[in-house]
Amino acid sequence: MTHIAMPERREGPVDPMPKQPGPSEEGGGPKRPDTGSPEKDNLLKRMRKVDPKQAERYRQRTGE
Amino acid sequence: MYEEPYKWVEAVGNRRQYLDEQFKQGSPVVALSYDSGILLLTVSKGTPKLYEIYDRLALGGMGHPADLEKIRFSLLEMAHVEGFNRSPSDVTGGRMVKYGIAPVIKQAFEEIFKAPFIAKIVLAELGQKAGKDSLLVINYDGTFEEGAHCAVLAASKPVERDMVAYLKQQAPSPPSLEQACGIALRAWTLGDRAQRKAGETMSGPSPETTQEPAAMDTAALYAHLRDSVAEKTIECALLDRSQSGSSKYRAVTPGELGRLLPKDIGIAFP
Repeated sequence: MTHIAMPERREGPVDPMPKQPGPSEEGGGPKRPDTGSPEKDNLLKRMRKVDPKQAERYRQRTGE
Repeated sequence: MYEEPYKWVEAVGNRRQYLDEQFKQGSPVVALSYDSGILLLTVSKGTPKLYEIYDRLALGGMGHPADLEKIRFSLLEMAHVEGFNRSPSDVTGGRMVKYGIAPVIKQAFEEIFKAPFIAKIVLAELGQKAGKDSLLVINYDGTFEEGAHCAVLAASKPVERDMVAYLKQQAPSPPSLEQACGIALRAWTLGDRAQRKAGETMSGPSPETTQEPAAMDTAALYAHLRDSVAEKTIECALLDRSQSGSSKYRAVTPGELGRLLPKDIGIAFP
């Protein structure tokens, strides 16, 4: 006859005040993806760098 | 009809022969670096063959005017979109050719049910410093070569080789604008004369033959030039590093060209 010795089950320390789950951890449903869209300020800053004469040159080069 | 590989190869070969025939009547184009920029020169019959593409890019072409216009417009669009999306410094000749126009020309050449581009082009890019200029030549089959000091377009490879040899032999490094104008015009004349001779004998110059010493005779070249340019226009454009502003391209007026070219040329400019 074989005896298998099972280890004694021990209980770990329990948090007496469990933290409420945050909105991101809540399994409520799909979330809005973070698209990382460019900020408007940066776009305007970039637009300011464009040479305003370039459009005129384009028309001239295409012969319009 | 062309489903068998060897027939496709034969069709491409025929197409090459057809295109070579088309260029026999074309006017050569010469691009040459000088001390403060790049000079482009050709002789045209009505339709211009030299164009501005972007601030530091110029185009010279030979072939069918409609195909040249199509290529020019593609390059213009590509350069300006790239310049707006990224920055003007990202608009380089290498990018335009390698990722833009060369694959398009190659595809058109190999699609045997469609018409190929009857055009050869040279794209000149002005470097920030002297010696950093780049000249890219694209053949009708989409193959391209990059050079630094000079580049030419002509009807056949042997003629192009003779013209380049003449430019390398004659041009000091780097030539002044006046010297470059004279040398480029003589190189154009050399190429035009070789093309006409090849047309007369109905067989192009053999690849081994180079121009005989008489070909280097300036007086003989000028005599041929005077015959050739009657009712035609010497077209010349510069990418001038010393020009103020971001755009460095300018077309040389006939009056200015008259002052720049050697006096013994014997051609009157308005």
